Amino acid sequence: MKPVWIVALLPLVACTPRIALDAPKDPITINLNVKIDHEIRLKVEKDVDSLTKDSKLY
Amino acid sequence: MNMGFRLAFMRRYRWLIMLALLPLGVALAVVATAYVLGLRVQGVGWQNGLELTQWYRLQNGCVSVIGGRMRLTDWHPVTIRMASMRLPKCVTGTKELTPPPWTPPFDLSIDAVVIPDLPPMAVTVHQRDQRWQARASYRRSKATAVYDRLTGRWVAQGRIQGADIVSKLLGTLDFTGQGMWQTNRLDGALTAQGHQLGYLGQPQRSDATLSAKLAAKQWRLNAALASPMALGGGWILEGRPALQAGGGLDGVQLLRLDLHAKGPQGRAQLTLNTQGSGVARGQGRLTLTGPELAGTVPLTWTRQTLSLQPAALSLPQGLRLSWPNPVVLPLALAGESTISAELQYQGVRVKTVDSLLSWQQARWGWQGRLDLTGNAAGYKLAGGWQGRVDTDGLSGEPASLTVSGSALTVTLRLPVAEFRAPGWNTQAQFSGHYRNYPIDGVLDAGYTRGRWQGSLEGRSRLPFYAQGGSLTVTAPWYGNAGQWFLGSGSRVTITEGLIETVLVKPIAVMVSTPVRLSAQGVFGAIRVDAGGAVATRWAVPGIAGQLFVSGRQGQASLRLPAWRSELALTGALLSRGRRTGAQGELTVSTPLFAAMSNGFGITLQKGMLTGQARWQWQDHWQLQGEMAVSDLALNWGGILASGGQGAAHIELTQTGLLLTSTGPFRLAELGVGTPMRNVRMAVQSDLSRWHFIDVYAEVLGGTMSAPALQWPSAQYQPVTVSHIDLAEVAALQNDPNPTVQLAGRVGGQLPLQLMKDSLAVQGGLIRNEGPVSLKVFPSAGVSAMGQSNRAVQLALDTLSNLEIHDLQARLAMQPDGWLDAAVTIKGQSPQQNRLPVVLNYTHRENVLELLRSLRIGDEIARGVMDRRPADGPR
Amino acid sequence: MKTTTRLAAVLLLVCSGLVMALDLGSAKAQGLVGEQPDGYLGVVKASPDAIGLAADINAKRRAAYEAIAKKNGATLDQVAVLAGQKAIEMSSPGAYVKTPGGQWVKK
Repeated sequence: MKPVWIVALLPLVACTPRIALDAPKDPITINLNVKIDHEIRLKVEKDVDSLTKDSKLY
Repeated sequence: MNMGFRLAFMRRYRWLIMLALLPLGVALAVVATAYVLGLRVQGVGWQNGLELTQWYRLQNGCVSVIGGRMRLTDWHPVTIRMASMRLPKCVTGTKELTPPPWTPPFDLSIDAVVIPDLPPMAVTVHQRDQRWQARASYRRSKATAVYDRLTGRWVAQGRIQGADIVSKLLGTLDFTGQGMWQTNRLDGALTAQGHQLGYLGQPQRSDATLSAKLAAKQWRLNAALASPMALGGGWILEGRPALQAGGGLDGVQLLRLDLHAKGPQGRAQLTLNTQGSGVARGQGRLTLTGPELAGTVPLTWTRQTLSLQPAALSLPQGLRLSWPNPVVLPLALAGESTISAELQYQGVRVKTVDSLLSWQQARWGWQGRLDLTGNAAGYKLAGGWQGRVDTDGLSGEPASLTVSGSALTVTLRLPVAEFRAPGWNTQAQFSGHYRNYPIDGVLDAGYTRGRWQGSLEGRSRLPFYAQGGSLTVTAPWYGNAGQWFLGSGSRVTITEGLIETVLVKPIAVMVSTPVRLSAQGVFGAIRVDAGGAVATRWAVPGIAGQLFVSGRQGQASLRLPAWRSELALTGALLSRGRRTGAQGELTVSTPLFAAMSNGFGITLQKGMLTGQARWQWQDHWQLQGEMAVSDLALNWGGILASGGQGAAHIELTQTGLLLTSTGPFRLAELGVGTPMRNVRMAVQSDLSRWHFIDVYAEVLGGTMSAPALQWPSAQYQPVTVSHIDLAEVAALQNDPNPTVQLAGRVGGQLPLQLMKDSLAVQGGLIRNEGPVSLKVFPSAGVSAMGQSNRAVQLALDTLSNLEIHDLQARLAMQPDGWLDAAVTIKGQSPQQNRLPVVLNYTHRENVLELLRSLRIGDEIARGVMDRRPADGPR
Repeated sequence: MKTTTRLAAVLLLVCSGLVMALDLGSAKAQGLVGEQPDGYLGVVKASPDAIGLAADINAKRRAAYEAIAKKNGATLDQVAVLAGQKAIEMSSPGAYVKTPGGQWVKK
């Protein structure tokens, strides 16, 4: 749906692009593989951890 | 005068002396004869005539006549006045009714003739030429009789006022008679007619006829009512011959009574027959027949006793009365009798034990024990009472009654000491249990100023409460048969308690104006005050309201002030055949806010819910109605929905609940990370399966639609996206200096699987809907990559500006959110002499986490939006 | 950030407001209440005090979960379930915890 723009994130996220170039004859073919990881879950866990440990609700 | 003269006189008038002495001799003879006949006199004197202070006649040693103050005032005719004449009862054997002997003419008047069992009468008797004429009178009653001794004929007539015989008897009796009275012969006939006979204090009046015949010393009497006589309660006494009696001169030899009564419940017939000669012994029979009456009671009597032989009677309303042994009642002014009888009503029997009926003149009493056993309405009944009932009321031990069923057992103790006229005060104590829950209390009752009144104090614990839930009833009450009232101040309170794991706060139901209870139902206003309920995840605040009950229908208006919720309820009892139920209407109106959503995974922020429904209860609940929600805003935490509105038809039946939206349900905005706007769909659900029809939403500059979606479902269901603006997709970078710029629109199919807690995509295909362009701007990172490798530099240069004519993306997303995209892009680079370029690009990313990260950005913006003052309680 | 301050405020409120007839520690020790996988306190042995305590604690937990969910873009249930796992892990031996199957067991 919206994968293409993710190229722009390449340097920002921990991804491992592998770019291969064939001989410069028509047409030029570019293969690009991207994987993006988010660290959101860890942040929730941190908040939940502090809630369960520091509040007197548990 | 000298002695010689005397003797000469005697000799000369000796005959004269003899003549003078003759009446004296006759008188002596009369006196002697009278003495022999038993006549005795006392106090002979002279005062304007012969006077006797008292005389009487002795017959076989019994005083048969006593006369008081008799004066003989004239000799021709013989005139006698007598103050009184008393005729005591003597057993004299067979009487010869000889006609009166020859007498000289005389006039006899007696001020009071006293005969046992009759009032004192004034009597005059005249005799001239052997023709006797007698008159008797008492107050307004009079009788005359004429007897001709020469021919032997007699005639008699008279009128007797009932009140002169018994003070409360009404009406008159006229009689005439004639016959012959000669030696050894007395016969004749007498007829009597009663007019308007009745008894003071009772409305019934009746005429009666009586005929009597006397011949050859035997008499016979027939009496009958001239017309049927009303007895009250629809019963009448029929007018056929009712009494036949006969006998000789010495008394009654035959008595036959035959009474027929007819009423709405049937007929009753009483026959009595004497046995042998005289009325000393006899037998009879009471026979009941009819739709509600059945049974025969044989009875016998002797001079001393009346006995009712064992019998069983069926009485109206299913009542049965029986006694297994003869009931013997002494025929005396004072006496007693043991009675053992059994009364049966449907399944309930009341039996007397050691029961004794006793009486003395007008005072009567019963003492003994009553044992009650049986079944009623599915409950076993057992009870008893031992004590005494007499004209003063009841005395003895408290009566007790135990009602027991599969779940309920209650014992009532009813003290009887004060249970008597006029107050009929009693304080019944009841105690028992329902299942394992105790019930006890006190019922006070008394009778004053024409009505019953008292108070009820009861305590119980409701069976569905695991703890607490003590129920207290305090009710002043009053009323009369069929019209009972609970006075103002009556209340039922239930203390705080637990139903499973829900803490139910105290509940009070109060009567502010008297409530009427009748066969038609309950009438009045009742106030309800409930403290609400608390569970581990949710709480309902206090509820207050009014309940108006009017017989078989009622209405209630309830409010939850803390939630500003209002609920109006009407209901009416229904009965179809033997089954009963109820139906009515229900309207609800409440604002929606966060405090209501404690138990759910969503938080209602605001909104308004209204609903109207018709409800019905008959074995199970049924409800049909319409509900509408407007101005709805809610969140699932980080996901926000706002501008919700919709209406639905709701139907609750035995099979479950069915919800069908009427018109589309709309959401102005749904913030999943990128906003979805103008979301609309029709909904149908039974709360476990949801069908969404004509689903439409605006997203990323384009639209998303599906003809139908089902949740939950393992099927992949087609969703169409179109006109998705790639510029908006690129904007999802949420970067103020974006490195990638996209333009153009795409669309395609996304087969979507909606499981209970997850969604997945398989075989999704997106294509461009026209020319698309891609620009990658140089950034520090990108430049560094290019410098390391010439081929990479070439590729980056190519992508810095690419005109795309063909874009195909194959998409799949796992339930955990991981998206795999395989994109093939075909285009040319205008800056590289329109060099054709093919970009094969694969992308892996967790979309759910991406959206979540985008929501965090949104949250910042929302924080600003949320700053406006809250417009509802939170 | 604003959400963080709100979360801090919620936490402060919860910590200071704990003046109950029955305190959570002893209620758990007596086996009256226990932790559930859904992140909320459940009542093992029903009593008005235990229900009152659980209702109070759960309302405060929900407010805290909602603040965390909003701050992190997560849903309320996701946060609650995560907290439920932690709470069950943290429960002292002998305290009651509910299995995913719905059974109360002693840890």
